[in-house]
Amino acid sequence: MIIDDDDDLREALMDVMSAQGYEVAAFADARVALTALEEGPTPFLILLDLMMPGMSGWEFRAAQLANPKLLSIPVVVVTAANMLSDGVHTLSDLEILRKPFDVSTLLTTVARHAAAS
Amino acid sequence: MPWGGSKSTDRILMHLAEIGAGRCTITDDIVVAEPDPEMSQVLVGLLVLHEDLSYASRQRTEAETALRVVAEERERLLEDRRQAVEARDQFLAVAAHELRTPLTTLSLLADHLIAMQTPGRVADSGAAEIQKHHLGRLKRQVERLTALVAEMLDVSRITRGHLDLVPGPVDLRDVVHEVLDRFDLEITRRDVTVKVDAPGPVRGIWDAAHIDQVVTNLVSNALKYGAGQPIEVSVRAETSHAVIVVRDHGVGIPDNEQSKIFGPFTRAVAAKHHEGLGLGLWVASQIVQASGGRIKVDSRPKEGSTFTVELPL
Repeated sequence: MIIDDDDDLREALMDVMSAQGYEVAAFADARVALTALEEGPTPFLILLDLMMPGMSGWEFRAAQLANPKLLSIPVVVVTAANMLSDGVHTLSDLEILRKPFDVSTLLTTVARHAAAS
Repeated sequence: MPWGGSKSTDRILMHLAEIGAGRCTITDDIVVAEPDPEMSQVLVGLLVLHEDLSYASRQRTEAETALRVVAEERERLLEDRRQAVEARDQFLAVAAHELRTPLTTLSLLADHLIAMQTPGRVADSGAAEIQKHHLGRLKRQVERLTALVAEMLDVSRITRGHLDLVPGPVDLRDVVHEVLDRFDLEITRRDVTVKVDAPGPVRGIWDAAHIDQVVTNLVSNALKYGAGQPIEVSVRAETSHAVIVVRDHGVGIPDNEQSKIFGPFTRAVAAKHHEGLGLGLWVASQIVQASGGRIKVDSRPKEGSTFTVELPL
């Protein structure tokens, strides 16, 4: 699952991963993604942007951890920011893909989580 | 008359105690009425002492006040500096985010395209279409980066006071149409209607490139914060000035934020929510002011914003 409000990046991530045969669900809105997770199938990985309108990546992670059904889904943070805290929530325990990254970094990360699932 | 002995000493000590407490019980009448000339002299001496002490005390109070003012000024300057550093850090964080996001997309799409070109790989029928689609998106990332770099250069020029205007004959109607033509793809992508009201030519002497920048920033703003609602752009000439109006019906700006939106590094809506560096309105206002005009906003939350630019004719 991809959660990123940047249309171009979200679509590029989706294209690259779909081309590798992954089934990808992509969301621009973290709140919508959360509902989809609660109601739909469980992904083996969530790629999470931090700076998003509405529900931020930090808030999404806090909501995810508060839900026993979702808390074990691995999350990789996709960010250009150096700060892993929004002042309220912190993400210091998470794996990070720092922008800009290339396809091989992305696919290595995704493949590792796919193998572990 | 002889010195009054211990009684006189008691009086002197009493007066001294009062003077020590910042008060004075000796009046001119008491000095005049004093029958003992020596005591009278002592009383005069005490009066002078009181005045000297009062003067010194006033001086000390004034010095303390001045010190307090200096300390407060220092604290204010430190606070200004703290805020400036915070604003700069925020700006750098936003700039890094804004630059790295399209760079990531560029990198991913380029890698993906290269992989598609790998010899031996069988191209399926949709490959050409996918490549065309990717190239279109690559181009858009380059445009995003170009716009960001241009915005950063504007900021750099303005902060160094190097906004050199080159005035020449301009028809604002042409400027508005050129800007909207450039936004054509973006307008289609966002599925927004833009209505232009420019009944006649609006000619004057301005710096065309910079006025283009002002209109570009206002239209970009209306698209970003217009919530997909129609946008209206109008240009008209009045008696002494030309007027450009850009109106959206989007998120609007709260009253308490309206005075700040033309300042640098102050985006009314949280910076992380929108593309760009959040300096467009500041850049626009600096250009308008340097052109001898003025810019204002009329806005209500959830109803939209109307930006009006007046340029001298």
